[in-house]
Amino acid sequence: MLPELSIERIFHRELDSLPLPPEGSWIPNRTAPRQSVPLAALVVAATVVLVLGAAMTIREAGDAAATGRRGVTTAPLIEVPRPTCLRGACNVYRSDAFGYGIVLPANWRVAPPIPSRAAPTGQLDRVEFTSQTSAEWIHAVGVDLVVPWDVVVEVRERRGALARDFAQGDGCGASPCVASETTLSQSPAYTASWLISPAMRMHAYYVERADRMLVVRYVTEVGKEGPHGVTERTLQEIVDSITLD
Amino acid sequence: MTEERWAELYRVEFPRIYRALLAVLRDRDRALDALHDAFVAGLRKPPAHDADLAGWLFVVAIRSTRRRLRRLPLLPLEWVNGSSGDDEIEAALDRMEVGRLLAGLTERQRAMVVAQFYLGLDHREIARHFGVKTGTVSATLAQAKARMRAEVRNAS
Repeated sequence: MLPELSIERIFHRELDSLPLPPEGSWIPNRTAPRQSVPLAALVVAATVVLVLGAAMTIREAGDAAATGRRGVTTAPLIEVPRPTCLRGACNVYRSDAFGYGIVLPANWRVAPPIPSRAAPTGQLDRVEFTSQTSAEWIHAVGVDLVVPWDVVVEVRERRGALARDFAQGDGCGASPCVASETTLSQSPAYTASWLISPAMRMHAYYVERADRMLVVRYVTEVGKEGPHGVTERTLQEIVDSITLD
Repeated sequence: MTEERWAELYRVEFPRIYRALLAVLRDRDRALDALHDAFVAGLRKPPAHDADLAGWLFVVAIRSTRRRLRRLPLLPLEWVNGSSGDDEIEAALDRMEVGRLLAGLTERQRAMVVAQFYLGLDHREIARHFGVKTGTVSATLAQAKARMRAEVRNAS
């Protein structure tokens, strides 16, 4: 038999021994400073966010119309007052047009398009995901047009080329490159990693999809952590979350 | 209730509710995320009485994990069924008697068992927080206890 009193004792004895996370993480990060921000600053910040959001929406709608891109939908990409929630998952970005989806931590979002940048030949789509605020992102220096600690998903025309050809074209081999086979969403993928400067390393994944190549890239800074607690593991988890139709 | 007061009450309850969530969800990240959701929900609309706090936080957190799973049509299946959970916590729970007792239960049964035997809620309180009838709680707990007894018998 299992007397209720003994169950209670077992529960308390055993569950009370489970470790707690550091006390600093008990309360979600962004709620604490909120009280010290003056109301006027909040109003200004909200206005800036709304204006930027509207501008991005108009720009993305324009881009989609111009390229004939249809059906790109984004599930709520809002900033939630929570440090990260990859396992519980928060933001889901889905591209019906190019048949992939990606799960992002709560405070990540789609970066705005770079206005002066023309799409390279053969590039059909490019979406950059970032944990940085608009102001931080504008000041971030992108190497090879990938801002360090962001994740970029590109769809390119294959034109018969193989994944390793794309990797070499991106710089794998020009400097010492570590390459191997892996899988993304159960599809075979070619992964490569190479130094693009003494302090920065490119990590790239290539998935051959009929006449297209899906490329996922991110840049890490050697011996450093990214902004807002982003680590290489965060980026790896984002890459691993990709689902392909 | 002021934000400071809410944060103070939440901090007091955090250890107990976090561990209760670990027992149900078997994953540190999910437990912490769920509790963060409950904290934010409480900032918007705190529970009516401080005495209800533990049960309220627990159930709001559990509901938030379900909402998140429903919002994730793109998640690989193993994320949804929890097989890619928190290995360290799963191993710790599996070593514990309580882990073995709860392992054969559904998540709902686990939640109600933990609410009763760890958080000390009675059937009426559990029913109110979960939004079900007291009879449903009694039936769910009876089934859960029968399974736990079977587990004890098998183990011995």
